[in-house]
Amino acid sequence: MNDYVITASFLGTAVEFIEALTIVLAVWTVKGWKSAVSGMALAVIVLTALVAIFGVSLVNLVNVMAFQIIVGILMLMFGIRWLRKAILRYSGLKALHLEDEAYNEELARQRKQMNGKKDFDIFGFTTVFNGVFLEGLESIFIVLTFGLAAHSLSSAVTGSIIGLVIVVLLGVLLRKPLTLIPENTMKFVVGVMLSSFGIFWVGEGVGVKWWHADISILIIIVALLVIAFGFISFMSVHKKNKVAQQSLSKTAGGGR
Amino acid sequence: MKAVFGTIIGLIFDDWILAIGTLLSIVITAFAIQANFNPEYSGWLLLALISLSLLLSLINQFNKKK
Repeated sequence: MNDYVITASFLGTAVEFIEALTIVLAVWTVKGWKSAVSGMALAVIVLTALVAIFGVSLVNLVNVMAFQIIVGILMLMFGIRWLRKAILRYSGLKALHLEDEAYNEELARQRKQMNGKKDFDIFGFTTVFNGVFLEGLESIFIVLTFGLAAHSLSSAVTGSIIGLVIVVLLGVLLRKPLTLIPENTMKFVVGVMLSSFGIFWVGEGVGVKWWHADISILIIIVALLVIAFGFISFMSVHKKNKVAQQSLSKTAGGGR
Repeated sequence: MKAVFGTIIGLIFDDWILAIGTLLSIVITAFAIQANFNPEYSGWLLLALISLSLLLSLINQFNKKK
């Protein structure tokens, strides 16, 4: 056993497992456990089958960049749509047209979605499958790369197993507290998360070399949060000014 | 899969600024890298373009409801 390879493999794969866990927990909380668990299970089965069939030669067969572009675009499209809706809801723009037919349609759709929260949801399933599959594939590549380079595949596998066990335990501990977060807040957080992972993966897929690799995800999250809270604050100030103007014109009207 | 495509099509038709902006941001970044633009700066270019698309989409929504 090589301690250096165990540590390197543990750190490398733990980052990927945490990213996958974030997506699984987010979908679990918003769309229910069935979609999250089935998506995760299928991804694990496919990955196991790929490793069993191709073994070490998998590194040369799979084009990770193509997967990153496809999965990244899907994540980005889903995430940014949720994020936009959440920002509009928080800034009050959704409530401004209550009588609007489109709003009522959206409300009915959301109610239907909430009633069927315990049921299987194809959106949640696809999101989890894509996320776990891509992160799992990257973890396998990390293990194979470290293991083959240091001629100690068993050390690399041991490191990744330690990482997996720790991240799974983290998931079990975090699942309950996450369900206490209000649904709208959760959707906002999920929107930010999916958009951030989407931007990161699409970037890697088209050839971007991110600053300090996965650390850049945190910067992307901060950038999206700045835009979201900036717009919400702007809307809050705008609403206050509007109310002040209305009360001023009423007072002026009453004084005549 | 129907729901997945529904979401993508929904995004394109619900808010074309965000959909087109997001896809254009990816294409521009890819072309920039092909044209030997620094791959480290390209990531921030992608983030800036997507953020701009989101902001434009929100401003557009604000103008509609004003």
